[in-house]
Amino acid sequence: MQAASSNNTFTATDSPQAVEGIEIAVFEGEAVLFDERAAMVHHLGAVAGAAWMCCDGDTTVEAITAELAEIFHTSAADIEAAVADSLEQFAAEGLLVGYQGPTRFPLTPDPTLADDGTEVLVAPPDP
Amino acid sequence: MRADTKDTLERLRALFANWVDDANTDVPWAFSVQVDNSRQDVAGAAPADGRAQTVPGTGRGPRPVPQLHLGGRLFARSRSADEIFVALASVLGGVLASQDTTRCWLALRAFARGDKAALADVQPAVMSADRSYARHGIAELPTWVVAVEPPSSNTASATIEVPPVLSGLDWSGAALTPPAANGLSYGLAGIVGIDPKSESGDQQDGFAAGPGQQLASFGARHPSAGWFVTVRQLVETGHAAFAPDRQAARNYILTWLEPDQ
Repeated sequence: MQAASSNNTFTATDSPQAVEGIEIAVFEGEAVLFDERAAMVHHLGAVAGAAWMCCDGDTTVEAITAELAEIFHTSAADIEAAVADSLEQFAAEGLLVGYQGPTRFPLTPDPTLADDGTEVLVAPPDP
Repeated sequence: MRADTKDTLERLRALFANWVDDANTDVPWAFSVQVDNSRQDVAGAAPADGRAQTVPGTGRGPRPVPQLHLGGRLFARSRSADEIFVALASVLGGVLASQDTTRCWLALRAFARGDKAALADVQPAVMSADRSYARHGIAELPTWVVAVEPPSSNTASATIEVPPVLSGLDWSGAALTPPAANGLSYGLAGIVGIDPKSESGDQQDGFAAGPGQQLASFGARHPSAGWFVTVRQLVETGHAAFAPDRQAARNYILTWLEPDQ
């Protein structure tokens, strides 16, 4: 499995595939992804949202670029960079098959224990 | 807990007799209970042993309303001292109930009318003790957390549940009337937040969060598919909003909790 970095670029013949289990909500001009594995919510703009919808493992980067150029009434050259950037972001977040997302370490302080071993909620956090 | 008078402290001890642990005296207080409106607290740090230090009131000026603080946050405020004790029991019940990690718990403010409730993702200082709600028959629920159940094939809309008050309390010993033993459920009518500030720190003019931003912002409050589905439904039905200020947020809540909504 590859670790995504700014040096990894997708070639025109690559066919990025979204990992399974990502909830998606599509709105006009934007989309929201929910990755329960990573407990992350991703807010996507129009181009990124459309690119995500094309990550089916069968559509090449070149085809994605051409399709989005038609959707957004622009040239492939003008939208190519935005598509590439979107795919890089997806890979960096581990949302594409074959790419590992960042390792996150949730901070969990050691609990204070009472005499009977149960955890003492000394000062509940301010909600 | 920190109490304003010895009488309040004794009442707390009576109510929570089954929970009090005097073995560890080094635990700093987290809750502050003030129910005696005839006295004033001594200024300065509260004693760690929970005993109150007071001075007699001067008899002039407005009397403080019984209230419950959680740290620096005003959590409950009522002319009825009994309601403050109930609020404290409710908060502690929520702290205990939220240990069940199989449920979706959120620390959001909840406002209810009848069998419907709306959630507010706002800081307490912005909307605390707003008496205008009472004129509309709306009450803020004094709860630590609410459990959210997403919409399903059996329920068209999401529901929220207020956890029951802490169990094993001696209500009669504290001369109090016990509230409902079970948690209360409400249909979730909406969720409102306050517009975020711009990077410069200035409030954005004409800020209007689109549905995607609403879903992303509210959805990020809890990492569960159930909450995401819940917020998504609220967004898609127009029952999620970011308000520019507290008055606008209140108007959303009033609208969503109207009887015919």
